[in-house]
Amino acid sequence: MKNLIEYIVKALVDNPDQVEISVIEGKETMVLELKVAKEDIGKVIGKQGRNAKALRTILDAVSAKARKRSVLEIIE
Amino acid sequence: MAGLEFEGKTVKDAIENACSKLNISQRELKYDIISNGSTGIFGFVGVKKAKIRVYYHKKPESSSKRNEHQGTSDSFSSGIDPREVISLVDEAFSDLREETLLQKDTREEKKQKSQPKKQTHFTSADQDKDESIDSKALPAPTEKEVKSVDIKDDTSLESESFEEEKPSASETFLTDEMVDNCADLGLTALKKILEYLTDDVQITLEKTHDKLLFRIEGGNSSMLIGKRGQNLEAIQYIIDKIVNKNITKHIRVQVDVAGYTEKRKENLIKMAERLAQKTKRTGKPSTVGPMNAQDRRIIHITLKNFRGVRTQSIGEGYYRKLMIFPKQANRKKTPSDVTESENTSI
Repeated sequence: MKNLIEYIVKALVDNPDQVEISVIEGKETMVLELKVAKEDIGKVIGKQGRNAKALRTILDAVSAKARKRSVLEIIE
Repeated sequence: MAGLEFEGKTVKDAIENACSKLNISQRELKYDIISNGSTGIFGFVGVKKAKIRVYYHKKPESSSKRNEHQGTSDSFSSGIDPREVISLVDEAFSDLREETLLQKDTREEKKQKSQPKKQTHFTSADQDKDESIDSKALPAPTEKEVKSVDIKDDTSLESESFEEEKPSASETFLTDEMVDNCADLGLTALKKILEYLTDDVQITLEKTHDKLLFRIEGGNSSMLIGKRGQNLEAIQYIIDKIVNKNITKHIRVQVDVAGYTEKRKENLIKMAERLAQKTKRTGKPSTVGPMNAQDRRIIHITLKNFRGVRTQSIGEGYYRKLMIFPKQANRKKTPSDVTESENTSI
């Protein structure tokens, strides 16, 4: 799951090497904390949050298959 | 003391009239207002003259004037009809009266000028209604018409841009090499995403110079589509972003799972036609809830040639929704109907 988000985000941003994802596993939920270069934050969030929304939708779908809940946090 | 009636277009005019006829200043004049009078509509329907009754006191004045006034007051006291006297006085002061009337006329014209202006503005916006509408209803329809004209322009532009997408792209299409690169990029990304969602899928790729279409068959299609197609939409969006990141020209990316987009398109067209019929029947605008640009586009195009309604997108971003309005000119079948259709076709 982490790999998937990492792959997508790296494809979206200008500085793929600065993408960092840390995973906080809980019992039922999983929190993905996403850090990108400062100038790439806009690209991850997108216009009106569309990119972030699409990312979260995909994450939801993937984690539903694993019978889990996931939260994607974008950290400045 | 004598009562004498004077008329004028307004009370003020009547007073001036009385003063000039009796040769006294306004301060000396004592009067009652009988009727205020009205200018009517546009100054030609229902005009009433203002009437005042003047109480005139005899005063010690210079002899010649006094004699004159003596005469008039005498005639009152001897019971002669005051109207006759008025006519006499009128004759005597006819020149003066004409002058004042002229002044009034010019004033009246000035008043009227402002209203006909509005009317011409109105007629330019809409030809078929101007005769039957009375003055009070004038301003509101004008605004409406102007607004709707603006809106019409917007929609026509929007639907135009939808239609012109293909030809404009074909003028500046990407080279085959670039398309292949994009297709490879999209395909690897899609495979990567799909492997987390479902197993055993076959992806077929159709590519034209401005569009990539990925067809996905097999696997857990409900998982891929998601609730109301949201997963599919998200996947398509992300692939679109990835593919279009490094190229200057935009290439459309479409992802289809088991013919879902086709089905959705059919449903949307059915829904659009149903709503358009309803709008036409009731004469009230109807709204199609928030949806993505592709879906709105389908509805716009479906209803573009649907007689009696027009469509417009309202709102921003996620809350942008599509409204179907009844066409106002359709209520009357007039020459403006022709211009209307011309407007939309431009």
